[in-house]
Amino acid sequence: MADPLLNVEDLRTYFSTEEGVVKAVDGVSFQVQAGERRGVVGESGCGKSVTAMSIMRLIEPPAGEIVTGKIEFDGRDLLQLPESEMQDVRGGEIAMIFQDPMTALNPVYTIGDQLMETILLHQDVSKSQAREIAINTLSDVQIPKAANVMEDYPHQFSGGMRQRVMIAMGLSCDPKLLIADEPTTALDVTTQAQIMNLMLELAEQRNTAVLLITHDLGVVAGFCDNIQVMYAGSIVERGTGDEIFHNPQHPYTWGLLGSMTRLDESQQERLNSVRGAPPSLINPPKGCRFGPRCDFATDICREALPILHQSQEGQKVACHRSDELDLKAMTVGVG
Amino acid sequence: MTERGPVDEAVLDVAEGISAEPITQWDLFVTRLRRHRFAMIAVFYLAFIAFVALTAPLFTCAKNDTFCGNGPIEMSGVTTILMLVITAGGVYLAYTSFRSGLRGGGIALTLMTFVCALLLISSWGVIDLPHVNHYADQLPDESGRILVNIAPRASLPMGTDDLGRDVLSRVIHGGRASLAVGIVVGGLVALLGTVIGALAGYYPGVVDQSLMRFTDLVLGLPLLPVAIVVGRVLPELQFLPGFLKQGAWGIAVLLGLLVWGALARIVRAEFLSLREKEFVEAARAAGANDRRIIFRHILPNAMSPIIVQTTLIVGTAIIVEAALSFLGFGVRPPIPTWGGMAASGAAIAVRGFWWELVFSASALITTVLAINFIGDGLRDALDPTQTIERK
Repeated sequence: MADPLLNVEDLRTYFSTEEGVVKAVDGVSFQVQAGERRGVVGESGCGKSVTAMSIMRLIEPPAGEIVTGKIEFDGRDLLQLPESEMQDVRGGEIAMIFQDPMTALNPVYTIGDQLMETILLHQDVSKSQAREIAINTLSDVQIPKAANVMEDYPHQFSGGMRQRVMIAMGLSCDPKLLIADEPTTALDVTTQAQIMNLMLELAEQRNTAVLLITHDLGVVAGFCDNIQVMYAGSIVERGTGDEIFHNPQHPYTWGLLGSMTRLDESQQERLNSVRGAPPSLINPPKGCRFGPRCDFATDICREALPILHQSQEGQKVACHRSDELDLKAMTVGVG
Repeated sequence: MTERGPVDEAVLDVAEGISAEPITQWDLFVTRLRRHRFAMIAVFYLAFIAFVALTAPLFTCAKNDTFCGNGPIEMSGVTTILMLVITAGGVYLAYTSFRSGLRGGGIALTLMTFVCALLLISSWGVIDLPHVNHYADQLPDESGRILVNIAPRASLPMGTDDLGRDVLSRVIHGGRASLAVGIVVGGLVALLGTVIGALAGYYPGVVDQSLMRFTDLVLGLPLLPVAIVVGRVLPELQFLPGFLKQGAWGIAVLLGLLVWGALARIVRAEFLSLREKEFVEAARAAGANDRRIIFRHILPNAMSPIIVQTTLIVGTAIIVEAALSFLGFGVRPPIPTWGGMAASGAAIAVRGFWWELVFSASALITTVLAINFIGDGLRDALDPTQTIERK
């Protein structure tokens, strides 16, 4: 396999607060290949967004700090780059799409101004060329009458249209990696599907790798080649979409899937939930972090932290009991 | 979104392919400001005061000579520059007023611009304008006696003071001190308050702490005593250029350096909240550097409170300058200021010669009121949560 586009090794991002050090991301390693679609799922506060922000180096000291780790992108260690070079990487080689398109656009500038700003920052083009690129990108994201829309302000746009503009901004400089941080959370369901299709189609055309961060399993299901599940600051399971959805090895993944409404399977009486709440990231529980919420926890789970290892089924999983448990055969919630 | 109506309709029209005049932020702002009647009156009143003060050489005599004679108007360099700015601004404003259908304002502004241009041309000696010489500073009668404490009458609308000087002429000239204070304080406050507040709000930690503690220090200084002491030594400072030692400019700069604290705090607060907005994060993620984020992305979003607060501070500063001159620590006599005239007027008012006090104080009060009304109107017009239907 060729060198990965993005190689994250043992990333640890901590935030210091009055109560103590919050280990938001604690030892995350993964690789993204060029053109790959990678999904990152997990519940709120499990470190998905912080991972993305760390890659972009948008974590601001003194509040937060990348304590250790290596983030190699296209052969360079991003953590060693001076800030000025990092500014060229941001938006130019790695673009980011944010959760809420209603607030991610500056209300005092027109759509065109904002698109052209990004283009002028990263490409050596004249103003009129930048304008042309901007109009073309707007047409690419299927905004009608792109040339007229350039003079409009964000408040004249609906949420879906704004997210299209954000995608246009992200893709305008042909980045190698697009990080989408819950890009459809703020949109309604019909718009969600349109936006996802559009984003992934465009990414494929341009051979842009996508790191899709979401808490919505339905969103990643259809779109991602590989999925990694995060829990309490670390990756608990990683595999292809098929492996994760049809043969989950980690009780947490299994629980998440069980708590999802699905139209393609027989109706259950009651929707299940993963009991309990995520642990404190200041004083994580000893042993497996999912242990206190896990229906299958044994003594070893309370003692030792499981590491991510190859399971018999093919995907990687961080669970002591993954090989003995046959989660597939079990109905969620009974165990 | 609270902005309904015109904006939505405009979007709809565009969406349906009907060509409609797009409504810009500026249009909305002008429409809202026009609905604020007091603010509109205040704008024209202040424009009138400024205009009269700037063109004072035309119909009053600047010197103590009794007769100025006819001839080209003498204008100082500063006045010439200000007149140029007013002319240019007038042309632009008149043009936009006509374009957006404000006919009355357009005509008024055109006339004003025309007079400004005329004065400018006459100051270059191209044309001669007659001086109206009965507003000369000191008025002798036929026998050469100086007429002191004359009550207002047709030929002397505001009477004369205890030295026989025409009060109207001095009220007009006094406006220049207040105007100088307003312009200089406005500029200095907007600059210092914005930059210091922006840096403190954007960079947490050491920068924020040191800048804000410095701001606390300046805010903690008692304004009048400090202004009195520094104003007293100002003329003796050798290194200062001449124009700062005499007249209102030095006092204006001094006040400007003392009153920016409130604005800095407001700008800092704005920056603290705006820097956490997602569009700022998005700008960083798009590769913008700090300078770009501060000045291009955050500052324009903080403009409303800056404009409003600066306007209100200018009103206060004009009062403080008048207070200083009233106490005798501001602009030195015989240069006329409203505060100074109120002081000398108060001394003779007890003998029944009320006019100098009343007219100078009225000019001061109405001007500051007008500035506050404008600040009020601006706040309403710039408030994005305000609906356009406001009465």
